[in-house]
Amino acid sequence: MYSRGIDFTSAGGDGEADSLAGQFGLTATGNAALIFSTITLATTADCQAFNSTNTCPNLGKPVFTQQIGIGNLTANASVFGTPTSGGTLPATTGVSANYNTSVSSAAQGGNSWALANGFSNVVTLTSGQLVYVVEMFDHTPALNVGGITGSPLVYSRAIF
Amino acid sequence: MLGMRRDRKRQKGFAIIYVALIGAFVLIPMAGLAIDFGVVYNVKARLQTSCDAAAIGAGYLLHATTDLSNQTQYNAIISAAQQFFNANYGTSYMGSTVTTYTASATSSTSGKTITVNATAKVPMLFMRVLGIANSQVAAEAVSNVRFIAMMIVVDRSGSIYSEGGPGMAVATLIQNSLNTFVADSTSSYLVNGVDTVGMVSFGGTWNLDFAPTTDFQSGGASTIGTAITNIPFCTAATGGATSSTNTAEGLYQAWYQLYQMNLPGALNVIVLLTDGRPSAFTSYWTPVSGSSCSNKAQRAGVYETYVGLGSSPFWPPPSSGNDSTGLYATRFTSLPETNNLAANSGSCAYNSNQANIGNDFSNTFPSSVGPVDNVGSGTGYPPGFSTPGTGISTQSGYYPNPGQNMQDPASGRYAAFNVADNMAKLIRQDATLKPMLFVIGLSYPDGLTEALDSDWLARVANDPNYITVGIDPNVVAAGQKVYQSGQTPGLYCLATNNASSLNGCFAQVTNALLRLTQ
Repeated sequence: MYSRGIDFTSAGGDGEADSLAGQFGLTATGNAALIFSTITLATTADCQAFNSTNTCPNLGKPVFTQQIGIGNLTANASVFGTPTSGGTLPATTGVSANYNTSVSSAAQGGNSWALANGFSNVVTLTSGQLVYVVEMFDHTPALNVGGITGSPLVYSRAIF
Repeated sequence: MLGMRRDRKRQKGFAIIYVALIGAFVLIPMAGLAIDFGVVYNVKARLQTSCDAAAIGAGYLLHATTDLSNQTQYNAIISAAQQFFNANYGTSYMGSTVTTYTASATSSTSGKTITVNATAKVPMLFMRVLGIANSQVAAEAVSNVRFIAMMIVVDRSGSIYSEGGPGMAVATLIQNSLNTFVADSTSSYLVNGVDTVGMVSFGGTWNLDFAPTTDFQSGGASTIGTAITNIPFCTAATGGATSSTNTAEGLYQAWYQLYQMNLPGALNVIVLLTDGRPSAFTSYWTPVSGSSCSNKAQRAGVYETYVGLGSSPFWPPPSSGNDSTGLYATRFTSLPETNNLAANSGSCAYNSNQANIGNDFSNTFPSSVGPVDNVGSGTGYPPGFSTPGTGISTQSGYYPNPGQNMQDPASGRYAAFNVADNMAKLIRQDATLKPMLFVIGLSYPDGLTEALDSDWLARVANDPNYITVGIDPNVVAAGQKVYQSGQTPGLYCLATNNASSLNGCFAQVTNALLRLTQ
């Protein structure tokens, strides 16, 4: 996945995100996580890949095509879901605290875990449209008053 | 002393009043100002993000729209922009209220533009003490969607046939993926009536399979889908693997078509799909004085070299033995290509015996070669090719100083690499159209045929993210960047011999187009 030419599964792109995030702590055990997703509608081509027919469970529904996570993915996950059968993103080889998955056409057609749950309530997609979602999670232990209020979570996202 | 005590008593009351006044008129307003400005700044940032998202998010529909004067299509774009705005801004971000929101779309000769404007009213928390109840913030976003002018360049060399075998598996694979990528309107990002698409295929010869047009999906019998079905791949019925790999010619003819379109404001793209290493190049050839040719005028022809000499992995090629399979016509006429000998009016040796081509040209191929078809100067021609058959070095590029010896197979193959490499470089250096090269390498690692050279193909694309694996360590070591600054960057994708992998590469190209056209 690229944004302005930056591949966030590469060490360089990951480092760029880390620098921009400053002291948020985009590490595997840090306070923050950044999750990039691409979402589109499952097509008949995906159904063909899934069951060699033009119909399948996910046809016409928003599905993930790719998801990349940077930072603490143990404590955070996209509100629309994690598109892997096990529910966790696999680690990117050679890049610390970086995780990514690409969803196959067959999975987009038929696997329930490929669905972007609730996304249709946010934006109505048209066939062929690919939407980028960027989500940022930040837990703030500094605001844990007296140790009893917990670490408030700051969540922000952009969809385009 | 008594007088001093009396003064201190009077000063105690003043300190309280002083702090109260400073607090009321300086500290509290300053703190309030900081907090309120923080809120305003935050709302302003969110408003800008939402406008940006609206403009970008509606970009897909804007690109797919064929007629902005059609109110239904126009309204769909404006509605999409509103959806993305709402999805990002929410109903009442930090207590603010969106007071105005407008979106409009326009079209010009090079693309389409959507403009989104919004203003929001932000309630003040502290500043209202000073009579300022609200503050207003505004944002604007403009997104330009460029049309795409695309030439698809398909390698139909003999290796496609060899790898596919009699069942033509690889050719079918290519055709299916191309259909999904460009011909099927439900799956393609390219929009009929908006983008311009054409297709060139090459073996040793080149062929314009589909002249570029905006009506590429619905042009009756003449559609890109029909052209994909009719790509002249080698078949058993047409003589088997008889086509060479004249990559430079395929690239040039695609580049020429982009110049014919002349859309500098569009995103000019060449998508090259190939499975092998170059093995041929085009030039003018002048028979030497000792030649058997009765007509010694120069003639156009494609120099084709042997592929697969030696033993597995067949690279590097051996440096001795006859290098050429002959001199052939430049344009495709029919299969087998080996029947398409270069035009000749005399009794040249290469015309009667391809192996004797060296006799007519003193066993030496030119140091400077180039395309002979569609070459000229002025509008409609790529720069640097005003004279046919020259302008491209065979002696520098990817393989330094390969020599010009027709009896050295390595010399001919390396020269073919250099010609294609230099052609791609000229395309990437084109400052007028700025064509981007998307290269898909189709790998068929069976050990029975020459493997493709991903390092070189990534260099052709000028992929900024590619790191070499050292496929031919004699020219490029492992772990090197192939990107050359000052030249248009592109994308390389390696596909293995299955539909999922090849479709995945085309999906990468689509994603890149999506990003680059908005």
